[in-house]
Amino acid sequence: MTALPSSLGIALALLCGIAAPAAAEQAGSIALSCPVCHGAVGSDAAHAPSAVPSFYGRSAEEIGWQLREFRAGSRQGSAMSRLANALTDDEIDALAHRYGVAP
Amino acid sequence: MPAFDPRRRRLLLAGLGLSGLMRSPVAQSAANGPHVVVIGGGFGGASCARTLRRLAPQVRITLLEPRAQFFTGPSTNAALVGLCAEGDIVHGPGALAAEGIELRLDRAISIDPVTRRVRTASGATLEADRIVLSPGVAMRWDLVQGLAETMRDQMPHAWLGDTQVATLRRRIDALRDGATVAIVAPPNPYRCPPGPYERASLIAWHLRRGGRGRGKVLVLDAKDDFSKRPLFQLGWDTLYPGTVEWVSREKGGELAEVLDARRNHLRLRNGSRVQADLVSLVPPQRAADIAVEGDLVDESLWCPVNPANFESTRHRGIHVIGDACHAHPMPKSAFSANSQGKLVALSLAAHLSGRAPPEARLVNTCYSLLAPGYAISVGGLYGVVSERLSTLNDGMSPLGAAREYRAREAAYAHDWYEQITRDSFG
Repeated sequence: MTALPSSLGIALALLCGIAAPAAAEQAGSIALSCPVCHGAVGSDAAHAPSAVPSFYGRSAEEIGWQLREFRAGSRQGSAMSRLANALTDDEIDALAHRYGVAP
Repeated sequence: MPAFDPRRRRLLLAGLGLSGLMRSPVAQSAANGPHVVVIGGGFGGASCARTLRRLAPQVRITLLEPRAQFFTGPSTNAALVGLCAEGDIVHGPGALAAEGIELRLDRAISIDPVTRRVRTASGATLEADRIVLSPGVAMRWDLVQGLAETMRDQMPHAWLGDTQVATLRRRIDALRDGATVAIVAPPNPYRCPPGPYERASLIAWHLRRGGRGRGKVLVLDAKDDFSKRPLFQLGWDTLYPGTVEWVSREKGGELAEVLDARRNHLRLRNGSRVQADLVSLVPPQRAADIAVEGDLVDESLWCPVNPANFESTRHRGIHVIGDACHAHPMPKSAFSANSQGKLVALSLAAHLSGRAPPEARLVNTCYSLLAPGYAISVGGLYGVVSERLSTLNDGMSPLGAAREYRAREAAYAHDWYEQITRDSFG
């Protein structure tokens, strides 16, 4: 899967404000579950999970690429593989946009 | 596990007897906005209230929960065998008052499902524009011959976060070498589907600790299958060969009669009698009393909901989340409740500001600990397909995984617990 360029393209599209609002709404429902394992945004380092990999501070491209790796099965996680498997491209892009930081 | 925090314990003890209103400074600005009353301050209610507070500043939010703190269901089994301190699993909505939520340490005793008027144990009446009901489960003591609620402390379930956790922990601690422990597992659906089997695993670990190996753990089951069964059975064969015995319904393992609760004497469906040193009997379950009282349950005694926003299909303007609602195929877990609470918060915020409702995407992940450094997991993503709540994808840990994988999941399980309690309760 050549995820990186398409992810980058959509991330740029999101930044330019031309993404469909539906994608952002979808990210809303799923995105609120991410902190349950990965920790809350902005929580201090002492509260960040130590074993569960963190995505905070990563770029949108990196997060989108990793989610596509999980979905394709080329990166093995535990819970993450099962969840990513059912994500649509729009949902991955919206999650990446929601949690990615500007490079 | 984190160090024991004596403050938590003190708060718990204080909270058990507390009542009254903690009014927050932020609540004033929302005084004239729509009023959302959240009933139940567990993982579902607390996460809903917190999320709604962030999304909809104009809303007045009242959270009704009699207990400022309680023992959480997740990690209870670890605490029962001393893998963490009791104080480590004490959490609750006590801190939400500081976040702009009106926390009333009070019990909802009735709901008028048409006027959405809620009466409380202290005599207060609340008028709600919307109600979010997250009351959890109640035990059914009426389904097994010889079983009565008066036996709850003789055969402790420790399933509801109260002082039974300490009772059962003491009983486990006092077990002699070579003891037989019987865990009675309920029929579906019930809170925490893998819970009885995690409990069997960790009690086996406890019995075999320090070279002792003659103990036995029987799981007497009303079912022929259970959550993560192949992984549990593999774990039992690997870690505790000959110690854990699962007696399925097909093999007559279902409890038929309690012969003598004081002597831990049971009769099974297959006619055999069990004499154990300790019985932990997890009764069949239904939605909590307030849901029944408010006419929100159907004949199954669970609450039917529209899966798009968890609004009751029986009464408009009342959303039921967590263990009390009928959300099959999502399991009745803390993560499910947290996820449903957030979906309801999103959908209320969208409704109140005239935006399109969010698409329902719900998440669950459950870890079960079989021994220190050995955990397994199940989880999935859920959505609405043809108006039904459906599994979009789910799965379990691989059967053939290396021991390092189980160790990594044990570390994830620990972090997950720390994060979900912080996410839900602040």
